[in-house]
Amino acid sequence: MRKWLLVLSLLLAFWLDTIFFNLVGLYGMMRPDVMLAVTVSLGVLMGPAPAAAIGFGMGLLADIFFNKIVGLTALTYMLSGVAGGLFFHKFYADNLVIPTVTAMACSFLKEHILLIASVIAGARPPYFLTFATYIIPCFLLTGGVCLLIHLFFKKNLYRQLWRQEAIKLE
Amino acid sequence: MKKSFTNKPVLIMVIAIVLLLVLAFFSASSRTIPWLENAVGVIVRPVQTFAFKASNSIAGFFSNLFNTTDADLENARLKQQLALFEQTKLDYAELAKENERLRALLNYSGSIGDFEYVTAKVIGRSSGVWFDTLTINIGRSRGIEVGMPVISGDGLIGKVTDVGLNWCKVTSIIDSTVTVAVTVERTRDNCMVRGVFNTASSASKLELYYLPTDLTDLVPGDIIMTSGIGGIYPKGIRVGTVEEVMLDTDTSGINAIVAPSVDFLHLEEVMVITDFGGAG
Repeated sequence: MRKWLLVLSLLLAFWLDTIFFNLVGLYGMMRPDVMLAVTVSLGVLMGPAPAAAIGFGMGLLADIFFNKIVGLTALTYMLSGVAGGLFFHKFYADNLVIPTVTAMACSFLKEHILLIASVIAGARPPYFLTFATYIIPCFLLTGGVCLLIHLFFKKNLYRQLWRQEAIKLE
Repeated sequence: MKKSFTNKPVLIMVIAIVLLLVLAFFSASSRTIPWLENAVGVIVRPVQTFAFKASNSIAGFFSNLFNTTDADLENARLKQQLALFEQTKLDYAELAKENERLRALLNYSGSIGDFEYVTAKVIGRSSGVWFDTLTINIGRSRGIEVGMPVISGDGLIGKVTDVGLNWCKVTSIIDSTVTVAVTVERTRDNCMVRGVFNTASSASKLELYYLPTDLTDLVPGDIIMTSGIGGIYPKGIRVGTVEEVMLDTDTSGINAIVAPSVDFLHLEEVMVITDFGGAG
């Protein structure tokens, strides 16, 4: 398996999410969640356990370095890996709708978990405005990025993952 | 149900979820970084610093592609000088007013600005809109402690909320869960500001509230400084400028919208005040 490709992809996703998007910005604060998209796609291709472990690790690192509350991002990424893994071996890897929709749903869930955390911490965000101007664009962008990432992983990782599975079955 | 508990992966997942929720609960309040976080931070921080510098260079490269004329560079330099001049003028006015008040009272008890600082570089920032936290490259090894105020040349940034060995996290004043006791520089009215939840625009704002005097007294352009009340931040640090005065305070309780004096999107270097003996 092209482990180096996987490691590079994870590093790139971490860099994009934690540094690059903060520096360049898209429009306002909206942005795709690349790490979440990667986790979901890996869940669909590799199964829930490795994807959850990867999501947990990347989320915890992001939490430790950048986030106010440690553990919430790790939790949501881990659950995203499991959610992607629910479709492991149940659909053709060519199916792009499954990872895209799963990533959108996971992004939606993640933003709502963080919204609840911010409300508990004392913030009073205007829900419908935030939903319309931040949450919807974020989960659409995340779905789009997941589609591209899944295409890339499918092309570069899936054949080798499939071979590994075949060896295991033998 | 019984099957779930005998299913090893599900059991591991449940334990991980519980542990993460416990971690999130405890990390929601200010504290020093636990040993595991600290160890990870010490190892990865140099890589993080390099990545941030590299990212800045990439962003700068693309920025320079569209901003290379002499006029642009000159404009940037003049803007910097003007900001410096305005800060100096403000410092002078503030000192003069303070001096006047203290002379009148004949009870001088010290002046602001004579603090010890440690400079630091910003190496990261929280993602998303829910919280606003900066990561800087100094920590306990340089004497940094939780609660220390953080400023830049333009004004107040926030306070240290987490400390590791060689890095720490700063919760900024534009975080919508943070409130700061402030004074209107011209009228000397005490009030509060807090971060405005901002999703659509990249320019963060503050809400000014609890203003005790008549609203007409506050005008756009008024300068807002820290009041020192509460002992979290030193007195007289610039926070922002009044941008819009709100007249419907009966419904919202907000008196004005304040533009922060610090450009939080382009922060690179900050200063931590290490000898402020406040309650922060």
